Amino acid sequence: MAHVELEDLHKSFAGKPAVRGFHLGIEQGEFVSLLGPSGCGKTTTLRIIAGFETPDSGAVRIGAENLLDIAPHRRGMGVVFQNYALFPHLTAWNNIAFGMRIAGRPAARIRDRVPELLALVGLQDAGRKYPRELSGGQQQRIALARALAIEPRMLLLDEPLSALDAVVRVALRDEIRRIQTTLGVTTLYVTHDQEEALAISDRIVVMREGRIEQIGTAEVIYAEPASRFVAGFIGKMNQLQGRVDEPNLGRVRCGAHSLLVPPEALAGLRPGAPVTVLVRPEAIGVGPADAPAREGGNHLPARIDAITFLGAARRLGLDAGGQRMVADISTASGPYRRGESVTLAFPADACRILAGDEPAPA
Amino acid sequence: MTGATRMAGANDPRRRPSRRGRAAWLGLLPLLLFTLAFELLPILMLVRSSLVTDAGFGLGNFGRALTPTMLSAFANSIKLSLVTAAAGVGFGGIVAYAIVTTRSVMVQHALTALADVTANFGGAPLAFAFIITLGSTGVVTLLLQAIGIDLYPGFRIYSVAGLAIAYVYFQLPLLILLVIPALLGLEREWREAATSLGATSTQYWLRVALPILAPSLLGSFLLLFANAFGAYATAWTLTGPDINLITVQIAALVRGEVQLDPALADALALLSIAIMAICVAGYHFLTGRVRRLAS
Repeated sequence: MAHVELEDLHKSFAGKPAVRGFHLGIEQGEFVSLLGPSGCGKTTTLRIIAGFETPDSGAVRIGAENLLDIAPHRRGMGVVFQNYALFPHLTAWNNIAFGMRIAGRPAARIRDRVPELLALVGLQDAGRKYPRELSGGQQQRIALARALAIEPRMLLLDEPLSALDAVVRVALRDEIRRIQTTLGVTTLYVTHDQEEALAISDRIVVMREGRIEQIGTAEVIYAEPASRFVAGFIGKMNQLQGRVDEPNLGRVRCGAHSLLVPPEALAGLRPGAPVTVLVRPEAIGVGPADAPAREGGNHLPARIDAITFLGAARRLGLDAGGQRMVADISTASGPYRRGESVTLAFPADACRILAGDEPAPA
Repeated sequence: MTGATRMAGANDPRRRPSRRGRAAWLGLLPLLLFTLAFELLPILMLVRSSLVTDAGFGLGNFGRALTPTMLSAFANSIKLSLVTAAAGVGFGGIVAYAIVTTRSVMVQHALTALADVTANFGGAPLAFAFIITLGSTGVVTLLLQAIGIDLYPGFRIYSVAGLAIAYVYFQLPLLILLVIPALLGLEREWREAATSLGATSTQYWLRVALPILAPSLLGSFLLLFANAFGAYATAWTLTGPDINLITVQIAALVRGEVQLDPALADALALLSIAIMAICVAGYHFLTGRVRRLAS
């Protein structure tokens, strides 16, 4: 049995479902991210665990205890908010000490513990400063220290980096993970930023319209999306609509192209069944129009109609016989020009198959 | 200063008011003239008049202001202002919190509008309203009498207690209007953060919300105090000369009901202005603190 069990949670607001049939087990010390677009129910789920919302049904268990039977202030959840929520009339030191004072910890213990926490978040000299005297990143570090000060049973972070600029966001993201690993505190992290979730989590829960779409490690979620939604939401994905041609040979017809995919991906599908072939842009090689085709791979003639510089890579927008595709290539390769004809090459095992013909969301 | 910097300074567009800037100042001219004519000049004349005695310039009028009657008038005005300001903050704070936390936007807007109207409903009309409702033959008095509750003679609207009730009528809504912005500034996440850290609702109010609201509440208290201290028409219409308040004394000296002594009235008025100025300065200092906390 997992350390934390969320069982069949349901929550509606004014008749509109926000969380539907949410099941999740979180292991002791695990870092789990809830990832999804705005309104998918991820923050509501976190708020139910914290006790800020009451579910219509379901249970939140830690061991034998159902947290829903415990008052929010007795749950021992360390919460970090998007807007930091530091108490503006208290110094950083007193913000961190707040929970310990409420719990009636001895003054000597607080005097020892607060500097430890300030050091843990790298702000040894900020104890006397008021929140307004700290930058956004510093405020969030203090908020993290404040949440950790009560030695929480679980750490809940609600989009903690959303209000910060890109550089601070990356630095603090790594810092949060380092601290979490050091302390071994079970953590639930809510974000809509897929890059953040991929970088920081042991497991990711992708949510959509109050339901779980997929649970898995970053690698699994990225490489093996279980639905079109996940495929479209996590990273960039080429989605080629087609029909099963020869399932035993792993052949799928997408418009004018016959694509090779792993035959086992077509298991159980009849010829003519609609499928979506998923290929990541970085799995596609781009070569000259007259490049020789290799055995066992896919070769599609295409025309470049957009080039976007991404820093480490260039993203080519392509028209492959009416199929819109993108390919990420090294900035060292090329040069390529708009309007140029090229050949796209990708191996069969770079393709994932989703049955049905509903297009994935952009 | 080098020649180069002098040249730069002379040509610096920031040093010369632009045409638009000058036009903006022209727009302020009516306000400046109004302030000069109806605020600054009267105060200057008040200062001058309060310092003029039979023996020339001096503080004699202020010395004459310190008689037992006048000191009692100051004491009564201060007591009445303190009590009604405290009642306004106490009850008004609760009502304001109820307004900002109500889920119905319509109720919120209706109550705020009502507070806006009643905060400005003072003076003689308010006194008459209280006379016809809570006077000895007032509507409410007679209705209560009909169900066996006699307000009189235990209660009189023409007493200090009655006057305090009438003052609270405009003090309470004024507090509501003053404190609603501060209450709206209390972030939901502060309460949730305190709760997650183990605080009960009482602990949240005592350790987080009230310390954050304190400057605003204290500042509003000072403004309510000044508001009550300077009130005259309600007191005069309701109680006449029966209650010895400083504003009633000033009016009596100006009208010459007992003796005509405008110089003494001016000295009393100047002392009153000083008290109110301290209150208003305190209010601005404390609201500045609130803004700094919120920044």
